[in-house]
Amino acid sequence: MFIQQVINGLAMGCIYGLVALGFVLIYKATEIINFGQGDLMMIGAFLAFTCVNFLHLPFLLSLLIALVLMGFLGKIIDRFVLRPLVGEPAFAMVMATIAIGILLRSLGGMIWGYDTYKFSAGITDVPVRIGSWAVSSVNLWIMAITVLLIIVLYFFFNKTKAGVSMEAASQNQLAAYLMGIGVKKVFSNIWGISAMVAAVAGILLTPIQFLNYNMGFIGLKAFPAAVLGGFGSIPGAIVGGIIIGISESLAGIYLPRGFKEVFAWVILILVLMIRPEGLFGIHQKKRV
Amino acid sequence: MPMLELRNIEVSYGPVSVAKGISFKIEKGAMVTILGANGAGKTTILRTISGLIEPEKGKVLFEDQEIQGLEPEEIVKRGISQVPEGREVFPDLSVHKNLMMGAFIRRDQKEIGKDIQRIFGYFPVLHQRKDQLAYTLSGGEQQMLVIGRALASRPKLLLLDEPSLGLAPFMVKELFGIIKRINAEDGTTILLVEQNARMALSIAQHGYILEVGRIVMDDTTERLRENEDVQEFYLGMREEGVRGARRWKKKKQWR
Ligand SMILES: Nc1ncnc2c1ncn2[C@@H]1O[C@H](COP(=O)(O)OP(=O)(O)OP(=O)(O)O)[C@@H](O)[C@H]1O
Ligand SMILES: [Mg+2]
Repeated sequence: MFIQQVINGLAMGCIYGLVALGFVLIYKATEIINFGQGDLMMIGAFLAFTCVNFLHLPFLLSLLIALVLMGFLGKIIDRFVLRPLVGEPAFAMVMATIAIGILLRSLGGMIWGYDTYKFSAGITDVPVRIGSWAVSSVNLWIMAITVLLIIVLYFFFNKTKAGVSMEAASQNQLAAYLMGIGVKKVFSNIWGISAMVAAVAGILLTPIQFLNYNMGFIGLKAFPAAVLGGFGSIPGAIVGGIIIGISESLAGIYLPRGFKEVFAWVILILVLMIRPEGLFGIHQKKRV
Repeated sequence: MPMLELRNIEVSYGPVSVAKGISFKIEKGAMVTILGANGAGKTTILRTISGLIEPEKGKVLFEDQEIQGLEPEEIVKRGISQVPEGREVFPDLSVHKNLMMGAFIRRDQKEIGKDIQRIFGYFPVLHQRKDQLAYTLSGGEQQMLVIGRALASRPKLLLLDEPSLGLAPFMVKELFGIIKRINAEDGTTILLVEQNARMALSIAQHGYILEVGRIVMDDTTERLRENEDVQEFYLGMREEGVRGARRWKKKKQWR
């Protein structure tokens, strides 16, 4: 039972971590907190769902289409909502991302209705035996894909010229301009990547939760995960997500009813009180 | 034909006018210095050349083409590289990656490798520290890194904004030796902004003196070094007592 809950929490935590990763990527580069990240996740999941269930495309192709469309959506949001706000107070930008979230949620409701759908995202749920425990294959898939995505992103941001230049622009914007790095292009790409990561999170979430226009609220729980991880660190976001996922899952069986839902927020407040820079807190060194 | 020419550049930050009609030229292969007190507008001029600021009026001509108003990346591609003031490294990238970012606009991998070796030749300490993250370097080492990084784009024109700031005296001397070599051996044209007027006037061929947004003197460095006002205000060669009165009088004379 205990192990089972830990594994369920681990899988859920991977998803929190992926959504948190989207927060972190955008925050690191642009210092904007994108409160629409959870709703981007919902749109991504619905796009894949539409391709499979209405257009009858194979799952992998649907996934690809959803990722490409989400990449565009992220870039469009950057170009038409955030770029015009450059130079405005951070407050204005944060309000804009909240508005984007609400807008996407309403749009999701208008397009796909307010019902709840079941979508297996190409994963069949079979129990897998590891030694003496039975683990759901869905959970294994979620973990495997999260790990894979982290490896891909790590490789991209550390080993490719385009990725390193994005990292550089996140660290020092003035210097990036002087190196000839197109900072506007970098921001646009970061938004694209974050929206794609959100789509992956959303698609992974659907086999364990139902598909619904409101599922973006999960994104709110990714926020404590990002803070716990230090809001600037990619591994931090994932570790933060996993800690939230597991503790929430355990709270669900060992603590009285209702604690499961608020546990992430309890952790958030504790982190802010004890160690506001998060587990992977980094020294202040960013210059703009 | 000069390599770079500014014609009547005017810049303001909001209502504050900072450059009030600046014009000057730099010939290909030359080393030119701009001297001026704090707040005179030196950094503003370099930022305008690099496209970080758009001037209100006036033209910036590089190799006979207008470049004011272009995006900074376009200006870097044309061959202008700037070392900004204040050690603007990429703190969480290694020294080697910082240098690679300097070569961001280039595609010729092999040549980039050779240029980085040449930069390590100028600054051997960067070679020793090449896998260290930039924020762990000392201030002086970061300054060398920023200069090396600017060289990695293989610029035709190198803009240096107070490169000697905060360096130990023997390092300053070494640094100016290296700047001289970059100019003489590689043929890179250099525009040097400096507080250390003595050093700057000894290595550059031509100098401009900037006072609150205007160029008030324009001469060869040889003649500037002989000039009484320059000696007094930039080389600190007179006594304090007479300074106030003389300064007022002399400033009148300059305009
Ligand atoms: N972003 C800005 N907004 C408003 N005023 C500015 C801005 N940047 C510079 N200034 C003002 O413009 C004037 C010129 O600044 P600039 O940085 O060009 O001087 P400088 O000659 O480089 O000085 P220093 O030797 O101290 O580096 C100063 O009075 C400064 O206060
Ligand atoms: Mg300055």
